[in-house]
Amino acid sequence: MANSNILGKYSPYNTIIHRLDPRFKLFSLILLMVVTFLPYGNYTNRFIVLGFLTIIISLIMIIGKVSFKSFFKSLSSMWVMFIFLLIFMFFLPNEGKYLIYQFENGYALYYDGLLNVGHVILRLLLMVALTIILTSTTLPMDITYALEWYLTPLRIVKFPTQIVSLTISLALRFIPTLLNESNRIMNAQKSRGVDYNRGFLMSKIRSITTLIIPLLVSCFSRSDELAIAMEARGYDPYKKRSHYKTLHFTYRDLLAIFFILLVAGIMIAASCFASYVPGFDDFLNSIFNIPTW
Amino acid sequence: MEKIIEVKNITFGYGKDKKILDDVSFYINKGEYVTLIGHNGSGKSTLAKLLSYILEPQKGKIYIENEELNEKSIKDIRNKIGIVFQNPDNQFIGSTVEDDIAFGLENRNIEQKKMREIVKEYSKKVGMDKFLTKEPEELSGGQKQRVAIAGILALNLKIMIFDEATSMLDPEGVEEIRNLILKMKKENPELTLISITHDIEEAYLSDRVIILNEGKVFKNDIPSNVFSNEEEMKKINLDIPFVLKIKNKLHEKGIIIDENIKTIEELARYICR
Amino acid sequence: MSLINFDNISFIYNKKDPNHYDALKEVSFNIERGDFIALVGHTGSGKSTLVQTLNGLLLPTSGYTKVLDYYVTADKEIIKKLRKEKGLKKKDFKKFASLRKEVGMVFQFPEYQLFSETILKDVMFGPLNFGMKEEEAKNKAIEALSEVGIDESYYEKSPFEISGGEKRRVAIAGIIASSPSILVLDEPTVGLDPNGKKEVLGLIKKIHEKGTTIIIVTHDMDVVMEYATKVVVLKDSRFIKMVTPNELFNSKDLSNYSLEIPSFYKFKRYLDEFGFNKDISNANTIDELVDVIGESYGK
Repeated sequence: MANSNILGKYSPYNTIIHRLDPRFKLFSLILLMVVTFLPYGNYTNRFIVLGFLTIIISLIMIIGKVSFKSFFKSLSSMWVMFIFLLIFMFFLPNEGKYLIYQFENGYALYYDGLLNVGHVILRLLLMVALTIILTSTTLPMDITYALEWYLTPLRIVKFPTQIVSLTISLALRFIPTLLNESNRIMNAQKSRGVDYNRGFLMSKIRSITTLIIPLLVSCFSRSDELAIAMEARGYDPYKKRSHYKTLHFTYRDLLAIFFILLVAGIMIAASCFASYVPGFDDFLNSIFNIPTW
Repeated sequence: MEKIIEVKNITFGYGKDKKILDDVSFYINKGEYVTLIGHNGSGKSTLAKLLSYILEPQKGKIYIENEELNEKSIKDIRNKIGIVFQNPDNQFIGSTVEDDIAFGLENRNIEQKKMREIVKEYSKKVGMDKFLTKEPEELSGGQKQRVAIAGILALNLKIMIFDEATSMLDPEGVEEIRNLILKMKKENPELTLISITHDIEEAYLSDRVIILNEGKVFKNDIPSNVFSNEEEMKKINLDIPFVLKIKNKLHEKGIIIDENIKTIEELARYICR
Repeated sequence: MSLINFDNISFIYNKKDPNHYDALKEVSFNIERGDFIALVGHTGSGKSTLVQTLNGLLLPTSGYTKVLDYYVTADKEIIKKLRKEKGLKKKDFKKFASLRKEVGMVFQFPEYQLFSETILKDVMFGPLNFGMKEEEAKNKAIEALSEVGIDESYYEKSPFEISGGEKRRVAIAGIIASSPSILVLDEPTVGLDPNGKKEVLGLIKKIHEKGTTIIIVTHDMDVVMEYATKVVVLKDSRFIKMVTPNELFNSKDLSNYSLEIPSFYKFKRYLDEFGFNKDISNANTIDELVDVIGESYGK
């Protein structure tokens, strides 16, 4: 299937990353995502810090036997966004510090835009990598358990944590089923002459509707049947339920926590001191700051 | 015999003139294996939904162990009736085999340690103990239905309803489930089984057959009586079981075959004596 | 010349992955115009993969499937060879649109392909995609709908408000409206009740009688017995044999292919096994068999 890898898929290895507590993994994912969004001052500092993170994340991917192929595959659906970024951040702003070329009508291109695009894309890549690490080393069900655990305190304010986590786990459970289904529908429509690859905006939208509508119809009937089956097996959203699986925190997780906190600490420190470190920017300045005419 | 289910004058329909079930009454004894047959639109699936209180009858009443089925009693009755549905995918709730078998137990707030033992025991009973950590995508339709059956057996219920549970399976899957039903009956004679099916061969092996036609009970008797009149069956577009067909034709020639012979193998053996 | 040739085709899913999977292994056989072929074999034997090479949804990773004048393959060596020998061009291996017009394909649960606002529009969708004019497509659609027994009062209805059996017939109309010369059906009767099954099979038979070549993937041996002119047996991704239904069910090795045996043949088999004293090999209907049994009883 072409599109079953968008968010990564669990790969059943038994690496140390796989064995870590999903609660910890979820926490680390969010922590590292936040950290990539901290301000790191000028471009040089940004790229140094994010480069450091890239190395750490690549290491984790290697240890966890996360397939780099599935990572690049999931990117293939994002290139449209990258192009938009390029247009918005490089071609549109008419200002900056480091000029590339000044057109006669007053329009100018700057290196700033290019660096900005690179920075944003790198951040996106890191986020995708982090997500894929989580999904390919953790069973969907375990992610749900972790989520439910984090939501537990909200029970005090009557937040239905059980319902939310069950909903998520059902959604995850049905992703492969629905992918199979969409594959079948696409094959059926292709046999009726739909070409999903060719055509421009309007015809593309039209061919997508031939997939989306049948898929929605089938989703509704499935969820209907699922709800009935759950009810018949005695599911009551407001009753206390026991858990077949519970999570256990081990010394491995403790070590891993120290490691991740260290990484995050370094990043945060870098963010705090960023403005004091003279950057590459001035160097760039000295090279590219060609006087305008 | 003890009645476990009693259906009294049930009427159900959508809108005014579309009656799906029209004044239907019957009862089912404890430990009986009853098949309910009829075409699509005969009302048999609606009946299954009424029995499990997914739908509510507009007229008439249903009693489970002498307790009227209603809003109040339903929680109690859910602990008596389990249903295996038609689509193996849409009733697989857990993300793995063990999670799915445990789902009903979790709903009943069974403690974890005990739950693990129960899951082990019943996955073995349906022959799925080697697949506990498998995800539904890795299983065949027949295996998924066996998981669904284990999930219900694990709850130790008194009544089990099969709502066209084999109609989406391949022949191997159908065979798996048929054999499992016969095995369950043997192991636990107290268990009441109701199978809603198109499979007249399965019906022939059950204790009693109820045929629904256009919302009414058309026949309600032991299989050999129900299927005895081929013409009558043809009128409602139903075939008769193969063994009975041969028996009838031999009967016309004056050859009488023993009442108790029900399978093709037994019949061939009898003829070759 | 045969209508369809499967020439030594193999298909490997995830070819580059370490855990790749051979869905077809060196399958070769031919199908003639006007055949009614039943494709049988256990789940996972490769039946569905095989038929999907017929309209280029899957391309054989080696060997080729030839349908009419179209070659379907992803095998670079074969493409090179065919280009040299037959003077074919690169684009000749990518004419999927015109191929798909010739090969109609009905998938399992075809009702899930319906999407238009009205039934008529949905049936017109295929013909329009294949380049017919609005008027012509409409005529074709009306013709197809009347063929499947959906009358005029339904044309403007939504395909989502009709019954399951009707949906399936509308979906089939949507395929035959493009007048394919080959119709492929993958388990068209799954989930239907006996009445619905008879309707759909009767319909397929009617289409066959009009000259369309039929290929039907099925587990249902009654379908094979009653409708097919030839049966193709697949096992573990390999072609086993192509025989008539009668030959298949009378053959001794039937149980090797994990096929369900129709009651009639099961009964004959048991009679043989238990040493029935008359010859039953020529009895091909229940009545003939009962006559032989009668004789043995002296009646």
